[in-house]
Amino acid sequence: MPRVPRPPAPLAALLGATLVLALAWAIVVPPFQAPDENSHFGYVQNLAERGKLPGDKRRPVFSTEQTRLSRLANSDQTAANRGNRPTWSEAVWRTAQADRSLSRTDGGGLNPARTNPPLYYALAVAPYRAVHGSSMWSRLFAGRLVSVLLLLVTVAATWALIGEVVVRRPVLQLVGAGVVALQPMEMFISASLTPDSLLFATWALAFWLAARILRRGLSARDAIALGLATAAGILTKSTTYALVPGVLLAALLAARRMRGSASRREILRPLAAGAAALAAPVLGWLAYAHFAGRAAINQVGATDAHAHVSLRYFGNYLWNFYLPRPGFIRPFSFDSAYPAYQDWIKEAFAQFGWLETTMPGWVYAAITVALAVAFLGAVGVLVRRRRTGARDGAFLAFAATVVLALLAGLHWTDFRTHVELGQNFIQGRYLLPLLPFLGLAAAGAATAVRPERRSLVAGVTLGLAAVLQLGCLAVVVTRFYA
Amino acid sequence: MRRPWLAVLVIPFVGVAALLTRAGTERTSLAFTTGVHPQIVAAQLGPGRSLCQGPIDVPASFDRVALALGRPAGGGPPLAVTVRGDGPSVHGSIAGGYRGAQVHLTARVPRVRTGRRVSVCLRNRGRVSVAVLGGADAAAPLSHAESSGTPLGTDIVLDFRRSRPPTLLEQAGTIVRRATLFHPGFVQPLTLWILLALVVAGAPALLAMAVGRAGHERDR
Repeated sequence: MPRVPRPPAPLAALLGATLVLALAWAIVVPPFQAPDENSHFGYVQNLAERGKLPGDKRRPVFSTEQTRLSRLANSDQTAANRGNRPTWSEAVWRTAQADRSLSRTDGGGLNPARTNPPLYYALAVAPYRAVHGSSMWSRLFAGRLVSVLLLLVTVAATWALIGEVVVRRPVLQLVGAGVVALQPMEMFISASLTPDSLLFATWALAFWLAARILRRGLSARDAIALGLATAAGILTKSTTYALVPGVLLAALLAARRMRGSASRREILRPLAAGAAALAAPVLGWLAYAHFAGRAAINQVGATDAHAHVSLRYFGNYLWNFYLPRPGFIRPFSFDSAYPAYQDWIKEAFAQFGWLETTMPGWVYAAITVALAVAFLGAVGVLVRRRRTGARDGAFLAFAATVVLALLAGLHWTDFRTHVELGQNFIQGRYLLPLLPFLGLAAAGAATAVRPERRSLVAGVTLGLAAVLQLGCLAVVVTRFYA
Repeated sequence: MRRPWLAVLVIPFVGVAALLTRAGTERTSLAFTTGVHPQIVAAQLGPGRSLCQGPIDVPASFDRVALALGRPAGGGPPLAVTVRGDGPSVHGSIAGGYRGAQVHLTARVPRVRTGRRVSVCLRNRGRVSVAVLGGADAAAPLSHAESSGTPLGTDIVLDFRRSRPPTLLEQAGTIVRRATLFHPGFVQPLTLWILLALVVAGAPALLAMAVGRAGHERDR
């Protein structure tokens, strides 16, 4: 049996701290008070109890058990409503505990999460079944534990990514992986029952594997692993289609680097193996979805056939999203005066519950400053490395392709949703799969500091991130229980 | 700095001290709420008419009942507020003369203790009608508004408050008890206190260990 390598001691300690904090989030956040968690639980329950995906329009959306107990817990009314609270009555809680005979098998209707592919939900079925005789709250918590474990995968993959791209120095890897591990929104989402947790893990693994083939050359093993990680992401959430152009580019760049040192066959074989590992599961899912009459990709349902969708108007949307609007630029109907700040800073870093639980304004300002330091520092280091002949271009091209593809997909969908449905689509958490790049930037920026001071940088960074975690937990506890 | 891992302990320690200071001074007058927002006119309460909202479990004692009323033109009528249920009824009132499309008013009542199941009833003691604001029936899923035994299909806005609000720190035990409800069976007050200790001390200690070991770990 192959020996499983022990993680380096600093990574093990970081994972331990991450586990403690993530468990705290998983326990403290009331049931169904994370975005769409009720839908995700309904999906898991239907899969576990009936062995079927949801989407049968003749059936209720959720089971009697979920509907009745959510009502007793006041979950739906508390969601996104800061003036409301979960039920605090012990008498109602005792009533809810006594109701063990409610049907779990009569859900499976038009669940809002039904268009998601099934991989994450299939993973969550095992813990659900393991505590099948327990209360619904225990089964929900068991599902949350799956997400918590996936967060550890994300953190470990970020550690490996930094080791591959920047340098294998534990202090720098700790700075970058620590930023990812302790990012409040990432932890809050990863402590709930949601496919996003698997999405984060698969993207982080794909980033690491892409960096690996770019640095070490294309091997069949790495190519297959990269293909499988990408396929797993696609089978988790359609968002991962945005990862495909970057992965293909990384594979082609790695193959190009092998020209001259390897035969054509030695190059084509891993490429084909990786492509097959990516394509087979995805095509299998698409074929199943087609024959089962299911949507394989979420689609914007147009209600206004005459909606004005044009590239020019899209440009107008982008300007209004990111930049201040001079008088000659046509306004766009965003909910916020500063959509980029609202979505990419506030919502992406610290807005909890169903986004109604916020931190004081100065916290977001401080986060913005920290981000600016990390990214500007990383750019400075990149420029310096370029002068010394470092070859970062291929990985930068990969990263840029991934970032731009995700942003393009999100913005185009958001634009169409605004124009055709008059609604907002983008949420800050949609950017979280890119978080390992922030870890990379933080680690890169830390290389600008003299080696003997890097431990201090790591200490201060992790200390501040821990304080942010504690503050966010305190705000969440106060919002739901005080 | 010779011991950089100290930063990971000192910074969270300062953060926890700041949070405790805040929790020791911040007070919240809200005892609990039915969570209904003033979105619609839940009932037009004519002179002499009454309505009740219930049943309402009392998870924390209160001595104020807050309502949302609408009286766009002219002064609003005085209202009698009665809290009744499994125990002695208590009474309060709202003086007339208020104006505005949406007015939030509070009636003082004798203290109602934790653990009771009550209804809150309003009676119009004036000569003009008043709009009692609230939401659709699902707004408070466990209680309903009714008039003379007839369900109104709505819920009225009701917040229950305390005249002497405790600090968050004073409420720590209550907060912990509330956090055990609608959770798995192992989530008991003791579990949560242990978890708190792990979060406040254990996680920073592990992070400090990570920094300490990273400083000594050889590059690989």
